[in-house]
Amino acid sequence: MNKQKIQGYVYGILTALCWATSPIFIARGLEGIPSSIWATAIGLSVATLIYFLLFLWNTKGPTLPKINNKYILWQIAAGIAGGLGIMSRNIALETTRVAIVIGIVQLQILITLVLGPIILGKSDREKITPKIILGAALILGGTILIIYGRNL
Amino acid sequence: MSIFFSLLAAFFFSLSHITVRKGVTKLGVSSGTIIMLLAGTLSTLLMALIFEGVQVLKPLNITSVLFFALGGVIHFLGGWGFQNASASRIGPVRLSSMTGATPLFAVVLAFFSLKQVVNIYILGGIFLIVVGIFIVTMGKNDE
Repeated sequence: MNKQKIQGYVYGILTALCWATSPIFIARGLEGIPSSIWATAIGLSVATLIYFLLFLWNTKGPTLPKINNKYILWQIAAGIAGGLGIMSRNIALETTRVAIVIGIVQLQILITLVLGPIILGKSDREKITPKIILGAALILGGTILIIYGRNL
Repeated sequence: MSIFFSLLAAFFFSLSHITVRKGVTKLGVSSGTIIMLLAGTLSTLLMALIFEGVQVLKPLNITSVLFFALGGVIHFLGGWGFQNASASRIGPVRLSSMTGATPLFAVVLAFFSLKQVVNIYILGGIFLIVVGIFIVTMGKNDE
């Protein structure tokens, strides 16, 4: 395995680590300010501000290309959906354990498989292979097991 | 209600992943990310002001604000940054199979930092999900 691939795997693990760490900080913050909506708004605002400053620093000024409004609207929809996703996750974190929420949220992979072709059209339809069916059954089974076992 | 909101989060994340594919291919990653972050920030700020107002923040608990800020920065800057760096080196399919391990990290981190314990059912469920994600991403790789 070359150095490039090893770096890729390390960054992959760090991605998972970041996404697992973020809800822990949110859960700690909710102990002092019990507002999931503000938790989302504050987290997003700070991240956006830092990202925007880094963007300006790297591009030496605002250089957004001239783009078709249709693509901007899709991107805005993605941003709003992402914000609502984080907000829903934070609301769930108020009343239950981090592991349960993060486990159930992984169902997004199956929802994307189903919703993708509906929204993007036939060209984006995944070919259903036996591995996808087996994986989907395991994800669904795991989610049901978490929901069943959460109060035991 | 926590299950309902967890499922709702999964639905919205999925919707975000799908719609971002329509936009980001033409906008580029940097510009696309800024538009996405701005839209997310403005919509959640608006909802926070409408539904909860600023009274919830009084008296201002600086520690909580710092935790929220850290949560946002780690998720969006750290997570997204490493995601892009990883995808460019090993591809999105291998990356997806690795990020599927997120719930396992969450179990360990929540145990040590929040003293949250999970029972055998939840642990078993998470194990099935992680294996399931790995098999689904490998199945997509076969196409």
